[in-house]
Amino acid sequence: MTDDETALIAAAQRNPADFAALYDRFVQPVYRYLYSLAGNADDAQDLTAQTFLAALETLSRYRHRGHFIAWLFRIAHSKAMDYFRHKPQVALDTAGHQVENADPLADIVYREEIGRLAALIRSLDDSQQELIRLRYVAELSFAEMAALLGRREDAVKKSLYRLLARLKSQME
Amino acid sequence: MSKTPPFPEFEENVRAALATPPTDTKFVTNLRSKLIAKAHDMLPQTRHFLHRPAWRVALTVLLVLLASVLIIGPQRVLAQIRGLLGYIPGVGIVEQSAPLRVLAEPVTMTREGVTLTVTEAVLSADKTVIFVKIEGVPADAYPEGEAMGCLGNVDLKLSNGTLLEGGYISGGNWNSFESRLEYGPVPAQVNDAVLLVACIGGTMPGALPENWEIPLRFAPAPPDMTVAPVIELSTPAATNPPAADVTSTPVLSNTMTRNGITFTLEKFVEVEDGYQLYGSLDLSGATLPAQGYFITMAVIKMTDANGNRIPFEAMQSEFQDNTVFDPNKVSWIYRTNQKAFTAPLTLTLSWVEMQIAPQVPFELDLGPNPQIGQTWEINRDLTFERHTVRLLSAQLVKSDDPQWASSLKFTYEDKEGGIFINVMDDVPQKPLIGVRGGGGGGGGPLPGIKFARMNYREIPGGLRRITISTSVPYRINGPWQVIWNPPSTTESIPTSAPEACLTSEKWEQVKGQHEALPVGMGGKILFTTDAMSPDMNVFISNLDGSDLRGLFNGYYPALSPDGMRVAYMLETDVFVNIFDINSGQITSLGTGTEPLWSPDGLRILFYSPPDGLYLANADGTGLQKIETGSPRGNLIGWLPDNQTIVFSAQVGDIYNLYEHVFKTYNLQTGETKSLFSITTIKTPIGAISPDGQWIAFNARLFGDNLNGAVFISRLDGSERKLVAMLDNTLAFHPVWSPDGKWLIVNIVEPYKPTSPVLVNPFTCQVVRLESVRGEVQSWRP
Repeated sequence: MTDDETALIAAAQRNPADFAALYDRFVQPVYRYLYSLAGNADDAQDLTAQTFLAALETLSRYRHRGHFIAWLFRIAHSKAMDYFRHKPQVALDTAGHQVENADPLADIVYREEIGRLAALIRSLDDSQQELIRLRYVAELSFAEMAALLGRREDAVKKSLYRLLARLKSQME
Repeated sequence: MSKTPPFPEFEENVRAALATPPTDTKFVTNLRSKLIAKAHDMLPQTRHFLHRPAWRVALTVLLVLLASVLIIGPQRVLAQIRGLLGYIPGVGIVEQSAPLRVLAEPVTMTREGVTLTVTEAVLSADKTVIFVKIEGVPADAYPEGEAMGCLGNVDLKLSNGTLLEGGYISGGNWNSFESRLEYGPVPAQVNDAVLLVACIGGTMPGALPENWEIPLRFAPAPPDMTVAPVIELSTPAATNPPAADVTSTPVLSNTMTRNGITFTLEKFVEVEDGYQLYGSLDLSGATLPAQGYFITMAVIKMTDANGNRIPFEAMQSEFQDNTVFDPNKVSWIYRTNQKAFTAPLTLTLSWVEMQIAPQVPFELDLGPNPQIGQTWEINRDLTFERHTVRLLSAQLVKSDDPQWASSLKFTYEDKEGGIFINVMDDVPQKPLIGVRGGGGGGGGPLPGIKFARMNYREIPGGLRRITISTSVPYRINGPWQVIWNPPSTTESIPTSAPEACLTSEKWEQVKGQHEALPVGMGGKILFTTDAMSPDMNVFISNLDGSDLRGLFNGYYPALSPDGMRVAYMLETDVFVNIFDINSGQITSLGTGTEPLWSPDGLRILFYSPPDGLYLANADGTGLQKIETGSPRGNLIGWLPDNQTIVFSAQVGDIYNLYEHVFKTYNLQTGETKSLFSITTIKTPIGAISPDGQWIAFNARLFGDNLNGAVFISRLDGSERKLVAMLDNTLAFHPVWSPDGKWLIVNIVEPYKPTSPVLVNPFTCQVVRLESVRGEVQSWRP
């Protein structure tokens, strides 16, 4: 919740040692987001470390306007873009990790369905993949996505749901 | 009503398709240790600060002061300490232990049509503040769609090689804007630096010149530079008792402790149009039922010696001094807009809200051989410090995350909104992780059905002992009161402004009442809820809430004057349709939003971004563009002649978001007439009375603490009257009754559905519409 974040941010701004609480809260979504961009664990770890170190160093100047995670993801995105200047970009990492299922038949159906969906997502353009990534990999709220993308919350919501509707119709 | 997104199951599939491998625990732990070590390095520890020139200055000052205490006594030393702090408008409180410096001269640099001007800088012993103006950023430099622009980091490289980081400029899609950059102190002997602007924040990489290097030169501040003295108030040795059960009338001072929380007024500054007051909350004595953090506090009210409320407004904490570490201390800054008062003044704080994390133990017997897909019905209320969720069921499912074999997925109902539970098995059989709920709940602070789950490496079985925790608000009630005696002045004391018809006190009063609607009052209302597709969010009912009927899902609905049709913007697109309530027939009007019916119901006006206003007949024919000559307008209403529209237009340039002027535009003659200006907290919202004699509108009022206020006035701005202004609660979107004698004002309290309330702006009678939960959009006979 944003209000809870406010307290954590204020504490960390007064004492950098309290930054650990913010780190604990956001390390997983930041890592997942960066993994989906980088496509491998080593680079995702490196980018995650760079993101949090930069956030720690600049936190005292950060002014809370309700969405800390938007600020943090701007840093993460910036670090990732720096990374891609030196390395070729990979498509959104999708369904690279197989799911074990007790029922072999269900397993095959499930894998096929998820595989098709993953391929469809990979076919989207970068901005659409970014929208999907922020929502379903980083698990950002629409308000946080809106703050990050500089768009209205309802516009982000509509864009995403239109995209989902399209993907869903293509899957049917 | 549930708040499910349109395709919850499909969303789960998308998550599965995007599954990433788990984070390496060792990496997470190592990075955490590294960050903590880095954080400790950032603290001003003694082993470092002797090597830093700025701290040498401070240490010297402290040594001099210590010597002074021994020589001349503490009272006079206090006066000297006071003199070390000064206030500079736009910069904030600065230390004056070293001479202040400023930018020797503004510096401008233009590249490919984009101009950066460093307009001002202030350098003090504790901070460096630089103001930059950016002009000429073309609109197409900003990304379209969902793409993000660059971060916009701005660093300051000093001539001694030191790099100060932390500045940031962002365009926010503006063509021209100004940014305030703040850095740590620049050593006294360094008078040259280079401002390094990596890029204009928010623009697409490569769209504009990057890596700007702007040379800056600093010089001593001119002797006439405005530095207001900061008056620090000493804290009395004996304050009010800190006991939790204070009942006697305390003797007020500038500090008060109650329920373990100390409320203190610490210092004040006289500024051009009033005073700025600085204070704190010390939470170190507060006793909480679970671990918690400070979240927020009530608006601080100021009253004079006669008990009259003085306009008093919280300030943004832009310039707040956060350099002194105290985890239990919360700082606040408020300001007045007057300098003369009937002293003494009393500052009252009603409550403080913490966020706590209570836990509830829970047992679930999965039996000896549980199967994927098996469900256990629970249906039990769990109470977390006055907040209750109903745990409905648990289901063993295949985990979304390939690292885990199964998930125990709990379904619960959050009737209040804003409650998310965490579940954790107390005795994990294997490495296990608890996952915060999400998915079907749709997130956000709304009530609804939500999920929480925890993952297992294998299929769990037997009796599971589980800890369920959540994070909930916990309010500590005061009141805390402190007193302030402002300096005497020869200025005359302003007359107290009339109170609003609907205040927080009145709202609390009517919330507890079940008052019938005034005799003869009725009609149909159209209102919206926060529901998302596929649930309907547009409803029609009688004023008393009876005959409720869901219509469709859409935005900006407006009920026709005959109550038979609804014009609205589609949920999925910026497009205006008309819905016939009886037949369900839909008529398309065109691309646009915020439709407004003409009083005769024959025409509809709507806004079509980005190029302006359009008018169409209600049967969908006759679409035409309206040229009012005023860009960035918002529709307000029609006059009864069916020919004159009222709209608001932004005043000045595009950055002036909060200054607007109401105007009329005659559709026949094309004549535009200005009515009056207002200052708002967001897009102007207003309504014209059915007789065309009054306008109700939202506007800013000093002391509303950004909650806004609802006013009525004549169309020329005269006879303005404050209708509603509440503390910690938003009052907005006034809607006139069909007879023009009453208003519905929509009230939004944090994390609660919108509550409409009837207010007679002429008699100040207030009646709650207790059967309606939503934002009323239209009221027809």
